Amino acid sequence: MQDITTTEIKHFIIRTLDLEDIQPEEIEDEQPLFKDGLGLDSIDAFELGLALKKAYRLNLDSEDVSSFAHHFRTPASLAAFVSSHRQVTI
Amino acid sequence: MPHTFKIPLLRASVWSQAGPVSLSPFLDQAAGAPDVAFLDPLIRRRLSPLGRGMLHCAHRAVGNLGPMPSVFCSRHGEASRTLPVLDDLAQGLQPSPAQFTMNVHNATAGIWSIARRDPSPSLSLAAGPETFAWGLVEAHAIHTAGPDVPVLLVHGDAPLPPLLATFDVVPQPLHALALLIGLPARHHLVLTWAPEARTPGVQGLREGPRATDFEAPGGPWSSADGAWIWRVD
Repeated sequence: MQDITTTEIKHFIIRTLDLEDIQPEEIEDEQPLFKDGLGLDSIDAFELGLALKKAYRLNLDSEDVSSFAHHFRTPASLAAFVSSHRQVTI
Repeated sequence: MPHTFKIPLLRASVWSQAGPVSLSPFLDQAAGAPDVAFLDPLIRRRLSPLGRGMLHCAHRAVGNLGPMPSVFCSRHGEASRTLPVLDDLAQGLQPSPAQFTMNVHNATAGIWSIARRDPSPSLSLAAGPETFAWGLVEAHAIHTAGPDVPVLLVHGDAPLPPLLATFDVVPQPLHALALLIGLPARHHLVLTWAPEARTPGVQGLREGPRATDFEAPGGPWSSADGAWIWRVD
């Protein structure tokens, strides 16, 4: 399957988390998503994880839970993570 | 013997989708999209249309005043968020964390407290069709106990989701109201309760003063606990 682009992930984040007044092009590929970066919090992390799992049917069986924080760090890292674990194209 | 509550008001703000029904100079009135620009975008994105209406009114009533206790009341609260959570659980799915977090009855009060960094006591209540009336009594009681500090009363309600709508025999439109109770009063809300006017054998439905009546005070409203009349002086 084709890799997911960072633009696609940014659209997904904005749509899923109702980020008002933010356009995908305003988010840098390597910008931290949480805390001082985009300002997302732990509820957003759960919401985003759940939505990605549903939308892309992510296969996370072999994934160590402690690595999620690393994969959810930036749009670029998240796009790479979803690309390597997804089972469908949306 | 009737009991009269004379509640000192500093400001009042109402919001509804439909728009104002009166031109009272005392009331700050608004319609259309609620103005919640005072909230950080990352905070306000979690508010429902009901929460936005309630905080629009709260902000209009409080302005830039400092910390104060608050009473938030809503008959159904965030029922439109609760239903999808229950739906997911019924299907064995994980519910949305954001929906779960914001479906609790004090969610809007929590956002208000966080946004204003106000650690004052806050109460969130529901009391069926008499929700607004008892919110009013509660806020007045808090102010009477500490009259040096204003008390914010915020009320809001929205129609129930279609699946639950048949349970609501007194449906109300999406609306919100905030009253700032404090001294020195600019107006008084005079609420009279006559318990002897109780209708014998009244069962089930109770009708008290409703927030949607605030723009046109009057009565009497009949309830299982008596009759209510109000006016703004």
